[in-house]
Amino acid sequence: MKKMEKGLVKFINLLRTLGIRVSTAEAMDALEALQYVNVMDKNSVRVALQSMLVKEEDKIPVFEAAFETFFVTPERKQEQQQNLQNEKDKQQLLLAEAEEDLTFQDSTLELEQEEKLLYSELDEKRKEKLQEFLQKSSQASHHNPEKFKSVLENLVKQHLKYWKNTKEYVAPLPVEETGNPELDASLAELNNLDPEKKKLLYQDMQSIAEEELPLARKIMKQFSKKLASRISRNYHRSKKRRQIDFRGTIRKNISYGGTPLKLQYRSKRIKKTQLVLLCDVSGSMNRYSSFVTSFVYSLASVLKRIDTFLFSENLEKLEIGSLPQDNYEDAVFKMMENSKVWGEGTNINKALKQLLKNYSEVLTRKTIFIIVSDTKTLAVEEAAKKLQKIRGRVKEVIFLNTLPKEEWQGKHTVEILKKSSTMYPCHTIADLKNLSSIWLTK
Amino acid sequence: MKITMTNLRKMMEAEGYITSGEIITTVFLALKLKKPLLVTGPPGVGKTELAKVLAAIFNTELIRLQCYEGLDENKALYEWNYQKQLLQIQLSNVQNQDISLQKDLFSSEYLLDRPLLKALRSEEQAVLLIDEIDKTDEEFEAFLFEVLSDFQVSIPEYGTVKACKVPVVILTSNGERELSDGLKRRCAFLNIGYPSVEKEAKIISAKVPGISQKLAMQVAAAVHVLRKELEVKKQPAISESIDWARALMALGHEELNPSAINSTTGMLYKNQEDIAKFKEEMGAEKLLSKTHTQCKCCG
Repeated sequence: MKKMEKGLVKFINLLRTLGIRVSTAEAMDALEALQYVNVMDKNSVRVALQSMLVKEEDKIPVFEAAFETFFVTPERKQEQQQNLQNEKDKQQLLLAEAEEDLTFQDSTLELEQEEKLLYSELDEKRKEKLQEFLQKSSQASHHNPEKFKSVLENLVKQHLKYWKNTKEYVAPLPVEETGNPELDASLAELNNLDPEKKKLLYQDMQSIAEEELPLARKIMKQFSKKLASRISRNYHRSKKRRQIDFRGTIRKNISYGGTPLKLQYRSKRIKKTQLVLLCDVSGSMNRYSSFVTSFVYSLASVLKRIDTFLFSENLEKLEIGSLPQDNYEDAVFKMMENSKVWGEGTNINKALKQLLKNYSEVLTRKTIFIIVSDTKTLAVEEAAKKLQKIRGRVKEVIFLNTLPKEEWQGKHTVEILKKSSTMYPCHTIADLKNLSSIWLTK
Repeated sequence: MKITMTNLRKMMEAEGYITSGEIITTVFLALKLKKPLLVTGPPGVGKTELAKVLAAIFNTELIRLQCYEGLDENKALYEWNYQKQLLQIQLSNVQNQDISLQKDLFSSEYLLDRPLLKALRSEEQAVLLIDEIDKTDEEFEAFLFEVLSDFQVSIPEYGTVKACKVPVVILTSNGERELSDGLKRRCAFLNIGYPSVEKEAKIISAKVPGISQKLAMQVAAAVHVLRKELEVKKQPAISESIDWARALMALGHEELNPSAINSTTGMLYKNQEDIAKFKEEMGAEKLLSKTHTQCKCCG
């Protein structure tokens, strides 16, 4: 394989790792396109590759960043690889330090790599506190030290998890290494680009600070608009084929002696899908409320037909029309102010019962039913039954779970509610973004 | 005509299409690789115009397929001339002629060309514009695959129609919905954004004969300020800049001033909400002072 082709294959692999879908046919087109441009001119090469490899507007910045990182001088490439190596060495050092610090009776605690790295990110005061606690535990006498060690490990894990959930911690971008040192060096550098946006995308929605809300909303608005327009389009689609109107056809063709020269068709009926959104605004959900309502609001503003309900212990219909159109902050504030159910405990069962009793007309075969909650509810079995009942009446039931997906495992409420709905995570803005992608490809 | 990047630029500029090197390169590659070109971008940036300009450059017919919800193959590709077929049957009965249904009634004589078939059967290389593809259903997109990748269509009763001359295909989309991977894979991709102030001033000068360089520059700078600073439902695009410049010229203004701006706001914003927002959050005076900071001609 020639050098240029090899380079192109590597670059395409990098794009794929970054989430840009590139088919073999497109790779071949890109190679052909390079024959028609001056390959010594970096800008021409960029445009040629971009036009053949990137087919979505929102992927262009990713492509541009990847291009700028990948097509660099050999010296710069070497520097990237060196940086990556340094980073890895630094990480090894941090892991070794964490293993040294987190011990029980001279035996290292069994922790995941991510947890050890989380520990290394703690400030000195917290580290000291943790060490002190472990030291005291080590010095005390135990009947079964092995058993106590596993209890201790769980305690440390919980402590680290708590800290992870506070807003001080920024999760790394979930990009996996490829094993190719050249690509991994580019990936590592790309991982450090646009940290603000990255941080917001993967941050727990609860911990997004007030001053970061405008940027977060902007990101969310971009994809929610796409999602909404897709849902809106589904309203107009009908699987019904055009049918001939026999009575009309005969009437129309009397003048031709009854020979059906001009066919008359029944007009296509538009089947409108209705979106019903149930938003949990109970105490445990307060931290997400602002984002959930923002999501609701950005959908509602572009959709023609949407019924939104807020619930905690009770259900309340939200009159979207009464919200100010031009100012989101005011809209949410007004909604909070007006809602009687904001901040109470969660009872999905009760809310669904009220929905079925008072608003059953919104649940039709054309309805997509979306419920946003963390599943922490009273009477979960009954709630699942009600949800199942609703599932039988509507087109689809979608559960947006605000718990992080890694916490779903073994959660009783999640297991039960999952059986009556299609469940998606809704913990970060990236989750919402993924959700819209899933929806768009449906 | 041998197409090179340089003469493509010259020909496009001669047709009044002032654009960047990136757009020229992408169009050039699509032509060279004989691939359909999928053009996206906000409304009014010149996506449709690109197809018109290419038709003018190649001195050929522009065949336009305007997409909408519910568009099907009967309206886009072909339709059998049903009336003519029935009359032929009746005529054959009267004249006691034998007609072989398959052979005689489903021949090209009874085939009504719709835009796609017309482009394929055109003896000259045509420019086919499939406008606002995002407004059609997914089924229609899938139906386009054969046309876009093999430049042929299969008509069950007739057979396969191959393109006499591979047409130049331009598809436009406003990004109202995600297009299918299959469609995107078959096309070269071009996203047209808003141009720089200088480029937009050049476009205005090319499209509005007689406009002074100063006014063109002021209009471009003002629109640039508005796009950057005012979040509205529909941002003024290049077409709005041109309309605004024409309106200012028609009213005899030689440069921007508050009264000129106030009397022509309707050319920039096309809905009441946006106009109200402009008046409330920007206003003519503020826009003018910001334009002066931005515009080199105003110093």
